[in-house]
Amino acid sequence: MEKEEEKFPGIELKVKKSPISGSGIARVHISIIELPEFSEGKVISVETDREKRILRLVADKMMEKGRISLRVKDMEKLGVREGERVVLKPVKSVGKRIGEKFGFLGK
Amino acid sequence: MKDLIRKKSKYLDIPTVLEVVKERLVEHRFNIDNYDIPTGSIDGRRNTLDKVVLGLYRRVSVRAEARKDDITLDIEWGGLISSCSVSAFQFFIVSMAIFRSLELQGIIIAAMIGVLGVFLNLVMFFAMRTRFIARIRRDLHDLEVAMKEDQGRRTVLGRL
Repeated sequence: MEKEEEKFPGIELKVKKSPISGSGIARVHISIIELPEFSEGKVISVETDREKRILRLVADKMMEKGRISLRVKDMEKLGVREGERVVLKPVKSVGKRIGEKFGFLGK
Repeated sequence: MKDLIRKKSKYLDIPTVLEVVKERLVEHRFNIDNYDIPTGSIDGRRNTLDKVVLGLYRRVSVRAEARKDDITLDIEWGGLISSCSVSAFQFFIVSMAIFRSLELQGIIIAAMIGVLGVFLNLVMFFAMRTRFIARIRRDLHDLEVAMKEDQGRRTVLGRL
């Protein structure tokens, strides 16, 4: 599983501005959460060449395929505008990260 | 415990409103159990292990109903008794461990601290509920403004 995640290059999506205020949520089409790397309500990483944000994923059928709806604050922090592209990547859980760091203990 | 949000608007419809509610529920760390657009209902639970252990388990059920130029959200909260019980038990046990040398007096103090735990849980619940409702109200307004501005250009898909 770890090797699969390492190989996973991420999904490139076009940014859409959300009219909802606040930050911390990314909305995508439901087909994204059908992939084993992503699930609804879990954290994901949204990346550009310069910046990276950890957001929580929400999915539904109403969202267009190939697009990601981001809130204005997150767009500002990522330095992207509507229509630009970002990469969606899975985030390793705390358990997995600890397991990787202290993997030698299991040997 | 029930809450009612009513908004007069001819631009808002049930799928759009449900999307906003779902997004806000996920933001408040709820897991979505049921999301049904035809019946206009969402059921969510804050049931991750850490939330249950900390006594922050919550349950919510949202029903959306649209009439002519009017949309109503019926929000029903649950899980309060179980989460308050967990808080009371935890506060009582920890206090008992601290004050056990005081014997009967220690038990009374621990019981009072247990009650304090319940109040603390209730305060956290009301804070979350108030914040959630305020956010939904603001979102409905923002959404209406956005839909008014983009009327005719937006498709049903990716409306938000």
